[in-house]
Amino acid sequence: MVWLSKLTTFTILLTLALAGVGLYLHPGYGYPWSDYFDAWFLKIVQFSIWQAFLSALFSVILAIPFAVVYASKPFTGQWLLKGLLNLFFIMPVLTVILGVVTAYSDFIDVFSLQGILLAHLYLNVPYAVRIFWQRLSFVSQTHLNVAQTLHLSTWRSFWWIKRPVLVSALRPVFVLVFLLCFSSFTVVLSLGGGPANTNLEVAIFQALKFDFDPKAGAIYAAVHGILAMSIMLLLGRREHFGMEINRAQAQRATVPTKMQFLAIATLVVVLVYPLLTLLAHAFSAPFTGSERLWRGIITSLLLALGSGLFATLLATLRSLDTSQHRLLRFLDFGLMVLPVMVISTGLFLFALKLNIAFKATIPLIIWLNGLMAMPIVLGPLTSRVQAYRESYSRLADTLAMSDWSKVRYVYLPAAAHLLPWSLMLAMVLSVGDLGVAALIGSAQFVTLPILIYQAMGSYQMVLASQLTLLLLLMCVIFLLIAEWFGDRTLRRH
Amino acid sequence: MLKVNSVRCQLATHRFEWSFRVPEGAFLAVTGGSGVGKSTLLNVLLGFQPIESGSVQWAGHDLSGLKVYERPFGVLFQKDNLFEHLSVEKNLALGLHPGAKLNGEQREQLWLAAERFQIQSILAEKAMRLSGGQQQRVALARVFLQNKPVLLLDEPFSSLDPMLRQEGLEWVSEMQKQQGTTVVMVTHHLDEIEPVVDSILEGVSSDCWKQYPAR
Repeated sequence: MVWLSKLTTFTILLTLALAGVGLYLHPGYGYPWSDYFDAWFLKIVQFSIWQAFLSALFSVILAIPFAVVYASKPFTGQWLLKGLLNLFFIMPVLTVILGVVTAYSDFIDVFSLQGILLAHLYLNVPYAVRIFWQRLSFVSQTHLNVAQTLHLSTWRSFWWIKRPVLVSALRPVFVLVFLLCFSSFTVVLSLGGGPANTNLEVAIFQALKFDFDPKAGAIYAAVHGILAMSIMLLLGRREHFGMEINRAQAQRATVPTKMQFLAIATLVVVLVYPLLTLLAHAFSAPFTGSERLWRGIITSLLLALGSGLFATLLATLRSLDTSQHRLLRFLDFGLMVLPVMVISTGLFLFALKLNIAFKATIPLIIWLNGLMAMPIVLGPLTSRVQAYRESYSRLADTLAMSDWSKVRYVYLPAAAHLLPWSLMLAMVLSVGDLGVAALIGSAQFVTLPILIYQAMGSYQMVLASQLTLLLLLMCVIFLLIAEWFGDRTLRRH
Repeated sequence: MLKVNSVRCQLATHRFEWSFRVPEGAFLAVTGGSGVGKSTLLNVLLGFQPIESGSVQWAGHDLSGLKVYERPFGVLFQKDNLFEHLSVEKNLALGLHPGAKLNGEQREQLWLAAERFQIQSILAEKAMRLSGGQQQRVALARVFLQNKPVLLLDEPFSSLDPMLRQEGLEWVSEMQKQQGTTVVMVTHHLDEIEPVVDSILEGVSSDCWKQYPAR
């Protein structure tokens, strides 16, 4: 039983090892090594870092004022706003891209650094707001009351009590957004609009896909991996995202203040606007399906289901593991921040070496997407199993229950009613994947995201919007199923 | 006889030391202020809390090195005595077999215990659906089925109202009289249980405990 719970960590290590072997054993033709480190290479490294830095900086700067206003007082209906913010974090990246294109192409050149930044802000500001808001709501009410008795002004009590909380959240949020944007693939590929705006992830893709130069891919992948790791080690000191602490004295939610109302309205309008333009675009012409399209949809569904099941299985096994060593936890989240393209490239090259690259397309995509979705569904599962462990481990010991018996009667029931939800969330996260499928799949391989990308590439924006809407609809259906399951299990208890 | 001989342990800055004995079939009440080490004592007996010196013996055998389930104790903790997500029947079955796989004889036993504790009608219910009193009876039925010679109780009824506390105590007292179970019960309500108690172990401080017979 113990070894079973280690299977997840083993799978991650195996993936990293195989990817490493793949990169090392790359087919050896191409140019001499030194030829790759030219001016163009320097330019893409520079661009990768610069756009990630700007995205992280603006995300943090924009998010803080909203979070401060939202956290000033609990307000009625805040779950709705939180839901919207969460939605932007899990929504397929392509939806945001299409939204930005349809909403802003009349005002700015979206196929540029500006467009990339805008899309990155849409993806990351909601996440940053959520984290800062959550951190601020942990500020103890007692502290604020003490501040009142000390007759501290609003500004002073912000400075002495809330500012330190914000500062402590600043670096982790900045680093995470930076890493996510540094490894950004879909946004830069779709909105980069040319060699001037290419980052390492896109360069890897182009080297493998268009130049068929695995050596270049391996070099870019290695450089990307090294840079991302150094940034993580340099800046990403251990931080606690104290999700389990609650406000000491829960305040009653009341009607939002004027300030809050203004902040809510602004953010909601800005967030929803591109979705509305997307909708308007999609309905501007009738939809005509094709055989290729249905094939893409069915492939996408299959991939999502496979990845979802794989991610849920891995997360469940990992949640049963008692070992919470720092290194293992780092590994859990490794595939979320580690450049996916690097690992995909490594595995793809390894599969090429074995001559199965195009036979194993679907398992490879499921494997990679499953591993990427795993850390996101892992959190709730782990804390639930942990809570049950705390309540029942002594009782189980006195009853001489074996590890297997504990899993069967205590931990699995604990995890069970989260499993449908985990599956659906993992499916939402996987169904929108463009990068892995586009890299690994042959030219004939189509998924819904690939079709969207191709439609965008040939400037069929209406078709792209329609397909994106279809993708979004699939996600909404998954989420509704998850809600329905959650509700049903709640009622059963 | 349960013998606790100069058992010492250290928890943070507190030093604990206990020495007492409980004859087979007797009822010992453990009392004293909070932080004096009542729950720690039970953890020591169960082996959850390692000891530095001294020994715990039952029927002449040293218990050191034994796993918690190899010790002669059935336990009711302050809370979480039932797996709330499992049915009453499963909870009881786990008292008879650690994988809840029962043979015919054990099923018979389970049924008799259910009858005895008046929980036949709720065997299929999830434990979390039960009232406080029902949960108490199920937990008692389970330790009854475990059939251990010593019953350790860590204020298991403290969250219930006085009537239900009284009822719980009656069940325990009955088990003591009928099966000859030795009982060690931590309590804040010494006055309530004094009539059924044989002797009292009172913690004056963490390293000073007095044992005396009940009135």
